Amino acid sequence: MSEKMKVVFESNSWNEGFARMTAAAFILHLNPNMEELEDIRTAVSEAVTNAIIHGYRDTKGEVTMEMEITGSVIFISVHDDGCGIADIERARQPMYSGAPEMERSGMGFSFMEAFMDELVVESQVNVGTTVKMKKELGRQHFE
Amino acid sequence: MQEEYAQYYLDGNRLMVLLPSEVDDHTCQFIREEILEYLEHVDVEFLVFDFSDTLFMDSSGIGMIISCCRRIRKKRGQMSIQGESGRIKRLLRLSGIYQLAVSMEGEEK
Repeated sequence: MSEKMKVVFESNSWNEGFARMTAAAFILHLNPNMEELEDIRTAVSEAVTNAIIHGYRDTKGEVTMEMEITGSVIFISVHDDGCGIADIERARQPMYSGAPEMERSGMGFSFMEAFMDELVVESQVNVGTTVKMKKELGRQHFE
Repeated sequence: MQEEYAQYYLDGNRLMVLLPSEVDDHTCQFIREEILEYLEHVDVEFLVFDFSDTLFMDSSGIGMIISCCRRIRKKRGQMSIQGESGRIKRLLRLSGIYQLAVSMEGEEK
């Protein structure tokens, strides 16, 4: 048994909070612990922020967030139809920022990797980017 | 409609920034601009980020702190962080922010 949801919203920065809240609300009945809930909220925030500020930059467009729950495993995908990422490997490097003039931390993908079990980035220049993440609840994580 | 994103307390050359409950890309855009405005017009030597009210932060907050820290250091000033919860502490540690900050209480982080 699995359950799915999909939300489409405009690439406005105040929707970063909306996406985090929606993702948290969708998984709440699985009784995640505080850390798991925060991990999901942070990862969603990073993915959606990337879509808005890097994917669409000065333009506007739609961001699609889809989630699926299978047992205790949560799948999240965040998609934009923005400018795409030419070099995904470089973009995923810690401290690398696609917008250094904006003085950003370059830690977005690092945080997604740190807080989720799996992270896949698919992108095509001038077509868009999809970030897929997976996390299983109830697993112990040690740093 | 002017929403307030952070609260600022200026005491001599010390600027304390009480950060909002959600420190993300949306709120940081405004907070960064406001802090830089202070740094431009006031002789700030100590910049203090207070996380007492903050429940959520992501990497945009890290970027904002690094950006402001760079400016304050250029003016030979210092930055410190206070009031952060366990979750925020973990994010700050993960991104190496404590190496840029001076510790006010001298506690282990």
